Amino acid sequence: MELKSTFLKKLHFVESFENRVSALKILINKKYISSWQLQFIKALQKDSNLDLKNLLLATDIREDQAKSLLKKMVQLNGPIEYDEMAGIVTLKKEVDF
Amino acid sequence: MSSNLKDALSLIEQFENAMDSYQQNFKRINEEIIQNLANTWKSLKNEQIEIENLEFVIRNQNSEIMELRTKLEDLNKKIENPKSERETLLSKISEFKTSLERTVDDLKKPKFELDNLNSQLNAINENIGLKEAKKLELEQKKIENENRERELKKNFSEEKLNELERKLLQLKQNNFFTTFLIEHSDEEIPEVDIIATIMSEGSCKLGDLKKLLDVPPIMAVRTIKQLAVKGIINLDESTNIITMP
Repeated sequence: MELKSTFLKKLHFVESFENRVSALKILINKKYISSWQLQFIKALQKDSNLDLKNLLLATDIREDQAKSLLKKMVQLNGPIEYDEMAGIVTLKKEVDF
Repeated sequence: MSSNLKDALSLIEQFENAMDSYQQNFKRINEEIIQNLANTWKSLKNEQIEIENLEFVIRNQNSEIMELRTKLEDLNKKIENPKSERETLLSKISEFKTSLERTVDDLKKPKFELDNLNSQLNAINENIGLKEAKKLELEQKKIENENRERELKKNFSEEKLNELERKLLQLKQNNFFTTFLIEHSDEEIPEVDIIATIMSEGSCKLGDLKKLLDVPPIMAVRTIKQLAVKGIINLDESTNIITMP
């Protein structure tokens, strides 16, 4: 029973998460939300070595915020490379929205 | 004169005849008296003998009466003893009756206790029967539960759970940036929950959706209406039913 309960909770979470992902994509595509994180991610380009300083200028985001965001994404094994010393950001896969 | 003599002679003759008749009668009567006296004597003698006999009988009877009186006294005395014995026996009978009643009462108590115990035993037996039925039922349920558990283990195994985990991981990897925004945005995005709920339910009533969200009802209604204005969701104002376009 515990296994079933755990399974059903997990299933509900997965289905809910799938819906939440779809929901957020709808909101982004309808330009309903525009947070600084979203702006920064949208500014990234696949397979291009982008200079962080240029990115900051283009998005009007603080350097510390951007660095923290990049480090977090790298830490989570995101499809992104970040050379902190060189200040270069490379997107390895298209953004999913 | 001759007539007087004649009369005298006749009278003398008559007297003589009368005297003679008197004499004969006297003699006869005397004889009769003597005879009567002799008879009377004899009778009296007989009476005397009779009286003596009677006296003898009376004496004998008196003696017998005395004897009988003595016997009566003895008997009376003898009767007194049985009377006393009778009283004693009656008293004993009364005691025995009391004792018997007590014994009967005493016997009733164990009988009552026996009845009580029998009643309790019956109740216990009945209870045992119920418990045994319950036990059987529980054993049956146990078997059913074991079967269900096996079925559940088969349907909801660790492997299935891992499959889900893998699916989630894959979902997160395929949607890394969307996932990242969901999990690490600076601000909560209630619209995500609103749309996800409508997608999950197919359609929702405005009132029900308000209750499902973690934001205050007024803000929820405002957000829902704003989403509807932007064409992200459909809100039927007449029915308050929300659907996805």
